[in-house]
Amino acid sequence: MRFSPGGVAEEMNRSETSTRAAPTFAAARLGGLLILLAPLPAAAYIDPISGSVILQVIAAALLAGLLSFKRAWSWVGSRFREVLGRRTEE
Amino acid sequence: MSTERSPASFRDPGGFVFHRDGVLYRQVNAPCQTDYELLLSSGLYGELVADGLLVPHEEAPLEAAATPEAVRVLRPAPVELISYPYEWCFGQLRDAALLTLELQRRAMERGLGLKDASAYNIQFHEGRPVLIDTLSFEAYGEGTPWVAYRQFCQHFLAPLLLMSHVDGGLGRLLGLHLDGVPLNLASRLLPKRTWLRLSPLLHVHLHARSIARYGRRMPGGRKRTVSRRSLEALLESLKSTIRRLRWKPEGTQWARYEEEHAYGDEGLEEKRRLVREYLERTRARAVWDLGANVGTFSRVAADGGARAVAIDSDPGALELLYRRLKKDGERRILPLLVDLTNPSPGLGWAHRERASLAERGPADTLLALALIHHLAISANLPFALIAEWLASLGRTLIVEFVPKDDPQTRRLLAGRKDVFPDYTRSRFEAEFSREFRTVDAADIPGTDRRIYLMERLTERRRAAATPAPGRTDA
Repeated sequence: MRFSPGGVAEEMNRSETSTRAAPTFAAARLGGLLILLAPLPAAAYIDPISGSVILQVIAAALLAGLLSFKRAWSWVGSRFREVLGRRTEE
Repeated sequence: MSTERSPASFRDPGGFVFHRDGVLYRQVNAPCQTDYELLLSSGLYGELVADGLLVPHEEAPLEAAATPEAVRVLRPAPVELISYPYEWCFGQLRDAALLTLELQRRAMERGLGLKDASAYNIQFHEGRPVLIDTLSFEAYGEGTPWVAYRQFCQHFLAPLLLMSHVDGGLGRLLGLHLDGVPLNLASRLLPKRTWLRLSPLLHVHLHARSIARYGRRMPGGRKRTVSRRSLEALLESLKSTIRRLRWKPEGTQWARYEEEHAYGDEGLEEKRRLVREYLERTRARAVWDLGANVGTFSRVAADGGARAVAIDSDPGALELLYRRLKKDGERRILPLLVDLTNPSPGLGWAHRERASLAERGPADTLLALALIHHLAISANLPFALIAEWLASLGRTLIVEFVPKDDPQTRRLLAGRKDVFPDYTRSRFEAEFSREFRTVDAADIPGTDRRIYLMERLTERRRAAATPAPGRTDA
């Protein structure tokens, strides 16, 4: 990890510059959400350990997928109950 | 002016803690300046302090700095007693973990994140966990993995899973591994059935294997990204796992003691009255209740307006106490898991990073109720050593002597040879008189027990105290 005065701000500026310079990154905009593929190096002092970061990337993606599926499933379930309830009333 | 840098504050080049003339300061150095300013300007600091999640501070003049690198000097509000995660019961570590996740969630909402997730950054203040490290926050950039993920798993998740699935006392492992329980160790210790649960599987078992396989090597040298949405899902998974963790303390050695204790109603009420009266006479503000069990007498101290530390070696008793304190909104008692025959030593670099229990004293008043027979008989400690150690911990002492024919003492002696001919009241009084002056004493009705109010002798008087006559009457 490098440390420099105002390190984070500097890194943020550098990252923004690199984002503008790469046209492929512009395509990553989806519904106004900018997904940066180049992470901002943090000024953290602890060793994140690559093996842990790799696991985090995979686990986080998997958990996000599961969460989306769970929400979608619960939405389908609630719609189904709604429709079923309406028919019963009829 | 003497400036003493905290021996535990050396890891983060962004700042450190020091004491000067009894006042606590936190120095902010250049690497942390931007993040500190963002913490304030984002409104996160104000929000966290208002909700009691972060310790408040005032800014001191820059002239107060300990070294020339300072860009700011803060004067944080001190917490009453520093405690360490290896001294916490299950519920305390769980609440500290949930606070850490809540801090990370709120920080992300305001464009920041926690750059570390050390359990040592959390302290109990007014009965609630609070973050004491103002410099733990840094700017969060979309795509950045949570740099403190491994530390969070080691400091919080792994020990909590071990306490919940294996043994409630395994939080003590944190005293052996100061950067948290290594995940490969936790993975080996956890029952096989935890492989079938998603959260332990991902955050501990596979996490440990990934660290073992890749270590510090990044395959292909690629930078890894985690979207905000994915990171939020990861945090949510950690939170829901920790919220669901349970540990039932019932059935541990002491957790049932309250129901089985040796007093009738009259005896217990009189003991309470005596302790209350003696505490009033000492005007104690800081009370350490040694062998507190479920904290019956810590509550007497707290009711009288003192701050009490309920110290016991039984995680079950302390867990029950912690839950009751939360339920009752009692904020003046801190449960602390310490084995008095092996109290927390100085740990970490040069033995100084984590202070020993004695270094965090002395207390104004010690309560040693129904304790001496355990130390003298179960742990074979001579009265002289007990008195000497107690004198190092507190200025005044409220101590109970439980004679040999008391049912509780008989229980300790059952099935073992009585090698304690000196365990008598007169011997107890004689040995304690070398360290303490007895101010008052009274019998507890319905028992042969006696309670003493003692005051520590000054150094000069202690040196002059003659050896007690060696009466050994039974």
